[in-house]
Amino acid sequence: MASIVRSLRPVASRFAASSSRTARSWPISQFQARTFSASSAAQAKKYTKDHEWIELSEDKKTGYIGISEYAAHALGDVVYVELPTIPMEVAAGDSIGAVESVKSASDINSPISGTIVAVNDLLEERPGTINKGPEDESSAGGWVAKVEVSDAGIKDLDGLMDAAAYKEFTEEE
Amino acid sequence: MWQVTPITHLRHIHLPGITPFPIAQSIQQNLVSQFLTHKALVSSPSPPSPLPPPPHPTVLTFTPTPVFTTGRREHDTLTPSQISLLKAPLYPLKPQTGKGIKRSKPPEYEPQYAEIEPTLRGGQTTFHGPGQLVVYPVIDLRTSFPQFPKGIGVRCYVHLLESVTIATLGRWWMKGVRTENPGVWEEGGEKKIAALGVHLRRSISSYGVGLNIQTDLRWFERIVACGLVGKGVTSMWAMEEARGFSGEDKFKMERPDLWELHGESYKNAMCPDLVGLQWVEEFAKGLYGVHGKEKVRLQIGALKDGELQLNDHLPR
Repeated sequence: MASIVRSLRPVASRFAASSSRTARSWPISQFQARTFSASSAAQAKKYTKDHEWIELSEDKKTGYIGISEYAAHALGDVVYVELPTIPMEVAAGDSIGAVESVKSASDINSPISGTIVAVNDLLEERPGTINKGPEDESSAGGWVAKVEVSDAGIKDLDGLMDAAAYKEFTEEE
Repeated sequence: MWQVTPITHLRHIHLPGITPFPIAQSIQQNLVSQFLTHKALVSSPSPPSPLPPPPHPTVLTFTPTPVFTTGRREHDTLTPSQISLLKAPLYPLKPQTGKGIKRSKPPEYEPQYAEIEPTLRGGQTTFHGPGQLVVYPVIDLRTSFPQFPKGIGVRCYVHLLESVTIATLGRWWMKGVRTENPGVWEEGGEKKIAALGVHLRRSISSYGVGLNIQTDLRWFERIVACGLVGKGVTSMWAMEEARGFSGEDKFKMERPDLWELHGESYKNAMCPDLVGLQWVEEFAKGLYGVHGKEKVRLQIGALKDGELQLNDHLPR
């Protein structure tokens, strides 16, 4: 049994390596990662006018927060991410930290009300991860924080844009 | 989502003389809050109709009391020995020997002390103080300007601040350049003449540029000594001195009005009040185009009993 596992593992890592090598089409590989992932199927992302996104878990009790691809591109290379100290109770629009590119620091605001219960520590060591996968909520991605949704938070979602509306919004800019 | 009411003018609030840094910061914070309040109103579930007009884009210029400001990354990371180095007294230089005066009694030879203030801007520790022009534009980057019909992206904004500073130096026949490091540098790229650091909250800008005009550069030696920054710093006056004050004759010839206004002293003329006006004019050109200067509405700020009073200033 163990020998089969040992022979399987090299194959599995080759799959992972190739999916990251097609980094240019990373949104597609992210979709693949989601369909293969064992975690609860995620809801579609919703966006704020300040270019943050939130993606709820299937049970709608928690969600991942980050900045959009559009925002990451506008900022340029991120050199530092200021992460919130957890736990942090937030209302929609409250600042939870900031992304700093070489010359500017831009606030990250929580899209919905709730409690920030986890942050992406990877960003402390590797702030550039945001540029590589700003909308990626996998463990290697550039998501910023995980929030526990409050009752008010569920209502806040109604005020956000879905992917299509957000795309239109950014094209107007 | 775009400003429907046209932006009629660019407001320039200038604080003459020396302003305590915390006061300038709170004026800036006030401006930012006005913008944020308007934004929240606009995006609330039932915004009022008709919508109140948004605040005007505003540039705040001033010269602060000596202060070392830290960026977001350095909150609480200064060591006690760094702090004592930064807060040590700075003695005025003896005109003849250029050495620090320590034993003189006359009040004009009192040493200066700097404060240390944290900020939420990007960038690292820098110094602001007498002889320097500090420029804080507070604008909503998601505003349509003639030169930026779809609003100003973050990188474009930083680029604009640099361009405007370079253009302002150009007015004194000086050449500033960009390097891969933030700020504006003298031609060789070895010494920084203007520091740059911006904070954005919901696309509303704060902080901006610190341009050394006649700043006492010894303050900056302390930042290097603390190991916080490695490269050199210069000022407009130091650059002028290095080229034998050749700018003076040009200034006398091209601007006899300003020459007279400043008591026929080049040292007096190269001051934050004048350079501040020039910076905002260049900024207005950057936003509105060639005739941008006409869009500037200048207000001179005065502090009376802790309240900021603004007096409209008629064009020269």
